[in-house]
Amino acid sequence: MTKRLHDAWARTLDVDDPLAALRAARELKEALADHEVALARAALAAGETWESIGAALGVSRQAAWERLRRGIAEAIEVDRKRVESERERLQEKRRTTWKSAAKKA
Amino acid sequence: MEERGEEGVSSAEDLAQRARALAERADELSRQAAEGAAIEEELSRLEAELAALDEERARLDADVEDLVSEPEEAESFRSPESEFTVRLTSLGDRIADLVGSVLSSVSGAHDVVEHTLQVGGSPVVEIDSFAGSVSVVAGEPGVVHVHAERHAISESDLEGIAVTAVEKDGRVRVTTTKTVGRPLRSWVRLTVTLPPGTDTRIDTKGGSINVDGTEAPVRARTAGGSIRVIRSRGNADVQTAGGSIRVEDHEGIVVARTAGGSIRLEGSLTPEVDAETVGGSIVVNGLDGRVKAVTKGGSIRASGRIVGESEISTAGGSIVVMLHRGSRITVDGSTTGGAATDVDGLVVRERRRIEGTVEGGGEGHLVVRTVGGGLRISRG
Repeated sequence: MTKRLHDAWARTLDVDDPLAALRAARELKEALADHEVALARAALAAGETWESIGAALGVSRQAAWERLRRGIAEAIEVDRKRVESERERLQEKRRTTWKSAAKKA
Repeated sequence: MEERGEEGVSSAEDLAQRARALAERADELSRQAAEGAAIEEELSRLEAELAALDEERARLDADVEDLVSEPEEAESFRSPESEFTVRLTSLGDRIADLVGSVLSSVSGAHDVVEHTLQVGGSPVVEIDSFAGSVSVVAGEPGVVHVHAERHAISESDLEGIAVTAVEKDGRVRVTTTKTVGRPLRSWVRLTVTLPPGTDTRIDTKGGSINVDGTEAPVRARTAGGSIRVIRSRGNADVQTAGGSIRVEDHEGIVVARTAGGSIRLEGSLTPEVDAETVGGSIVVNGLDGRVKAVTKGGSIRASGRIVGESEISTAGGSIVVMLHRGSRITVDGSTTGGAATDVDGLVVRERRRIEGTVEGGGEGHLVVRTVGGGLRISRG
């Protein structure tokens, strides 16, 4: 994430090629938006409220929530799918192990 | 003589071969048991991670319920609360039905055995089962009824299951035993109906335990499975070697231990709560006294009046403590994540520590520790 931000920022400063810099500026905005989502998720995990997140961003808690909530929910879903997939793999392994143990018992 | 000698040699070789085969089999079983234990441990860790994600989802809208619009609710998201409950239950059921899942791959035999005892007053009831789930429900005064579903792989294994119910010196002892047969080939689903106010002690070597409405002390042990206790009074002492624990509408002391699974305790929990899990979240609502809530991985939420020497700690997850009025304590909290508080008398230092005295202190000390999660102490 940090590298993506740095790269986009560096290319944005390249005034010799204004169009490339504009494209980089767009990438920078996208990367910054993702970074904001990650930061807000960490803040909530640390016990902060939408009120304080909004204050940090200089907007109302409703504006902060509307801007970031969906991104955080999606990130949580991605984590959930990863963990559930790992759990399914282990459950299958456990079924195989116990069936084999039962056969031998 | 020579023939007998050859026979003797052959017999000795045969015995040695059988001993080798048995040793190899024992090694193999031991290896499988170790592998099984490692899998269970890893699954417990994943369950804890999922519970933490569920809680994170639940927290997402916790302080903005007034902002959640209709279209948002109309989305196909599952309710985080129900998801969390399902998760707690699923972990317990997964382990609880271990024996059943092994046997489900074969067509088994089953039948029902019943016993009814007339008892005076409120006897102590002890239930001991060699394998399978145990349900205890409050029924009519003066009657203990045992409904035992016997399950086995074969008819001969089924006949090897004994179910007894005996009253002696004010104690009723319900036991299921396996008189013949090998392990993992039979189990009993036991339902015991007993008089309200009955002190109950339950021990099963594998399976879930449910106790509903006894309004009396409960002691429950399972070697693997979830435990759920509703409307008990006095001491609730529950332990499982793997599975979730849920105690609802309890009045009195709670001691809850699980080697892997979440713990949720609710009611009027006084004067003491002691909850410990190796992997899973802990929720304690309705505290009124001393609390010890410790998990090696998972978030903790605790609310109520806290007094006495108390400890709330997790090795990985967030902690939220809601202090109710009358919590006259000193607080020593630390976290590697952010810290926040709105309680008068408490201050946040370097965003990593919460310290101070609440309501003048003098009635106890609360130590709160978390690594890898935020810490919030609020007014409940």
